[in-house]
Amino acid sequence: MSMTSISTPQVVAGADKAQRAGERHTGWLLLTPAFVLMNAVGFFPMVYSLYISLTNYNPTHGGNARFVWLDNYASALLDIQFWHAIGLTFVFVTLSVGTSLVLAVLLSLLFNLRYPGFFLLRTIILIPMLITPIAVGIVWRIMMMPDLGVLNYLLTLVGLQPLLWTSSSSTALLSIILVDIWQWTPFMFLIVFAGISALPKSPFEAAAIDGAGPIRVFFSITLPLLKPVIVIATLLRIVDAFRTYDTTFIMTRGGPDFATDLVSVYLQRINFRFFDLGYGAALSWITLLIVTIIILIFTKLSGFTRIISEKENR
Amino acid sequence: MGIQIKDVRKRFGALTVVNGVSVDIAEGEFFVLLGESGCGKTTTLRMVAGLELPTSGSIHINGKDVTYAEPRHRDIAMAFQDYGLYPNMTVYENIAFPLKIRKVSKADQRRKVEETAGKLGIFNYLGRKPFQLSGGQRQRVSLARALVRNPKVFLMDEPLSNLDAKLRAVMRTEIKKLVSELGITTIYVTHDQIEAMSMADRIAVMRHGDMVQVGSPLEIYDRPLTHFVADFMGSPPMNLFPASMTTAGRPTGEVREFVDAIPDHERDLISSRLDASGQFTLGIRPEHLKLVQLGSPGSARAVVDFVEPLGQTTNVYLTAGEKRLIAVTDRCVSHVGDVVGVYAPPEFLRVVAN
Repeated sequence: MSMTSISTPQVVAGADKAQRAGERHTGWLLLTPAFVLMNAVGFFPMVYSLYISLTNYNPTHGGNARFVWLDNYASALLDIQFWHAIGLTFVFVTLSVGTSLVLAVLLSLLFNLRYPGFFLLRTIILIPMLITPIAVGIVWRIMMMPDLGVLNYLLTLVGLQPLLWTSSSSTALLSIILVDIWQWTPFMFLIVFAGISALPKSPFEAAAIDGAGPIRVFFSITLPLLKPVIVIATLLRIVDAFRTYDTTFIMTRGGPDFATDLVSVYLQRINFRFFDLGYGAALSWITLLIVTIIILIFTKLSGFTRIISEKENR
Repeated sequence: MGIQIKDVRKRFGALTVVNGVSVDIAEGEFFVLLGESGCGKTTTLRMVAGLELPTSGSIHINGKDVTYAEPRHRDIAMAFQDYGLYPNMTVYENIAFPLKIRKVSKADQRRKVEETAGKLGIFNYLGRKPFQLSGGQRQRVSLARALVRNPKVFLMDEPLSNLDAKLRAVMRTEIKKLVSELGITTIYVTHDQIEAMSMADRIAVMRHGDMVQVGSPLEIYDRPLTHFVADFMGSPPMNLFPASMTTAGRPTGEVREFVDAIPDHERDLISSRLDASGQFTLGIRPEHLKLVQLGSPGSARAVVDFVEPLGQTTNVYLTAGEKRLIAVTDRCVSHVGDVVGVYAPPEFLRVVAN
């Protein structure tokens, strides 16, 4: 009796071990396609671009690429045009993401009042982010035409001076920022509104009873409680805004007089008009490094990691 | 002074949640709204708080009409079922928040927060965030935040329902002690009759949006007016027998011996408690039923179905005729299948409305 009761578990344990090993193999087998694909389209091109960035590879020059070590990186540090593009991009990202964020929070507060009819309006508001960026660029370029565009028509209608919009180097950057805000505020609104909708009700009721007015409630409770959501939305938008290319390219091609020459537009020119792929790869790597540093500073300042760990503990 | 609720109604669309509730709550009174979920007790409380507006009726707090006033203009404090703490603030900041709004000086804030926190035993947690506290500690923080500014009126919405049984018992006495020391007028919402009985100066039992009975805990326990109250209060609940009186002065009912024993002063109540079809209910608390020798005068014959020994007392489940009864006795020697006599002392028989 006691023999069987001792030996039975051993048999089961043995079977279990074999079975678990088998399961592990199945796991790897299932992972393989994704693993191969990720490496083929993600990891390999990255390593390859790092390699190219150390060469003077330019397919239009023919012949083999020469290994130039860090020459491309050294040239990049002295490339005024590149740093001009980085500076413009920084201004673009700051103004666009900052304004979108403020608008998104205000819209979320408004729509959180949940008046009848808001449901429809909320859906309409989301439309800009669903439109192809190329189409957005074309439509806004037409609307911003100094003589034929509807924007100047509207300005004169209310008695204001018409603007040159994308045709003047002094207003071109602001014009593309305006379009970016128009297109991407809905995205931030969507995230922030979801965040507001999910906030617990009782702290707000407690605040109303404790005597807090709407402004204090916003700054002492709503905003701090929304912080994790705002930080995530902002992070996503920062990364995305740095990559902005299509709309700007369609609207201005980086002009006039390089006034909207964002880093993405500049990189496109180096890589696919001059085909200076070695140098372009080096510039891309420097850009990646800069974006990473900015993101790290942002996460540090916003207390992102602390927010996430508190959230997990809650 | 105190709180006057006059004919307050609340409708959500076609649904009437509170159906004309009126009550005067004296200054310093501990008033409990008791009822099952969905009976309108929380809505009534939220209307007093100003978190919901009544469809009609009026609410006065300390002589001031606050029916449509903002919550912050009512000088009330409230404790919520889910505590309602500010998750982004520390315990200290949570408790200090109402003081900060009232522009109390930093030094006074500190003194009051520390004093209140000390009283509630959360002094050591002042630096923590709510998520680092247990349920009991969070509830104390919510009480501290409510008490720190000496409110005139304290509203509590099932504040103990998220706590375990042991902690609930402790907090019950603590809250009662604190509130009566400070003399704050309190409305306390609960579905737990033990909380209601142990804490209240007066209880209002609510059902389907109506206050069906208002009275002191013992009054409600001893003299329930309706079948619902009689059944709702007490565990195990009152034994209730359907009875009727079609001829004046001659009630009839299921257990003959009990109907015959109805004393005169209860007999006089019957006509006022009859429903349209001449029916009423006769009730007696399980602890008042006596198990006696079979055939004793005035007793009914009953069979023991089930015995639940609880240590100090024993619940005995019986059948008399068709009717099932519960008697709470001292430790007893009844066994399943015993045939016994049950005796209902006339002074404990109650006539209640259906």
